Amino acid sequence: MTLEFKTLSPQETIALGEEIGKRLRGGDVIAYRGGLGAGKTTITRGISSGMGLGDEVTSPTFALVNEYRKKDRRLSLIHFDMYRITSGEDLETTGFFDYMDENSVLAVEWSENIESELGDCIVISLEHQGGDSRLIRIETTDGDDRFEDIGDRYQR
Amino acid sequence: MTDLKILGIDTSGKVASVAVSDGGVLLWEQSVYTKLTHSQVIMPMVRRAMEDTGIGFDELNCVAVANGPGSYTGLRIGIGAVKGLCMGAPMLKCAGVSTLKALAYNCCAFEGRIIAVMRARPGIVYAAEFDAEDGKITRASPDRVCAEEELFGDYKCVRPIMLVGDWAGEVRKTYFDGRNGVRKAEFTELLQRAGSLCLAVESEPELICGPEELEVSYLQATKAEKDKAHS
Repeated sequence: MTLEFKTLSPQETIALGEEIGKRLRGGDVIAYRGGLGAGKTTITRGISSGMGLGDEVTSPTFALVNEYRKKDRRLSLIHFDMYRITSGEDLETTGFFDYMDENSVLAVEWSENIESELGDCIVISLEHQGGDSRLIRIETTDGDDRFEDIGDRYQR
Repeated sequence: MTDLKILGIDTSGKVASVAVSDGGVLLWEQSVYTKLTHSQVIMPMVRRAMEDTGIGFDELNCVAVANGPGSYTGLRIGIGAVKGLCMGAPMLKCAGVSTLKALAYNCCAFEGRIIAVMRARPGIVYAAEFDAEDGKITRASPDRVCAEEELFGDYKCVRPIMLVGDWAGEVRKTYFDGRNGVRKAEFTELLQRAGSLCLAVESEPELICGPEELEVSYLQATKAEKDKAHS
């Protein structure tokens, strides 16, 4: 199932992320597509906030992985950057598979690099459309319609 | 039993576990199932174990450690901690015990076939088979990483089966549902326990080695995934 959204500002991208974050479940893997400046970290800020984990999200480029957890929240958000990861062996050394469990959501930037290693996932593509606007596409596996009711509630 | 003083450290899975045994007596054991990284948890536990038992590092005959398979990060922390301890205490020996074998030792009172099984990633498991008789554990197959259904899809064994490890419950439900004589270990013995590392070394003192010989067996799941795709 594919859904498309157009956001006109970083605030709207974050608001869309919040709506996505509220609908996530343990074990979900989000695979981002989209180059530099497409808004991957921005939408992740919204997702973290929607999951109740705060909005202090920074780019995982340097650390490869950032973890967002809260004591009173069952779900954690694990934010990866795979820019420098190019093989399955590399991927194992990041601890990627250690993080995969029923209490975690994995959000993966530069998922293209490890495409063959990812199983079922939610693919979020972000496309620069000039200025601050972005075309954001969410693709889920068959029968997964939990993002369908987001509609226009992210618009500001 | 021997007169060995053994410190056991297991960080191969979700549980961080430390134990001290002396001549076949378990003096100290603690396991914590935690979201905190093992790197924060394990050394304070080791320090408490040594303080509480009053045993000095120079009195230990060996430090036993689960050396894989298991969590990539966890194994690096455990092996790194043990190698570091040995650098600080040059006479100290260590012992690498297969995580799966140590899990089998959790259930050594059982009679029959023990299958230790841990989840590597979706659909892929680490597993090994053992036979348990009169408290003796004998390996029946090497540690391996493979697709779940490859091992359990058509599992034949006439002996009673005990499943142990973090994926035992799932395996029992999926492949042995309603089958008699197939048990899952109770929760007190289901996951890694450092006391079982001590027991493994007591039973197999030949596992003791110098720190330079201590190696990790990651059994890369990535490779199994490729094999699965090609089969």
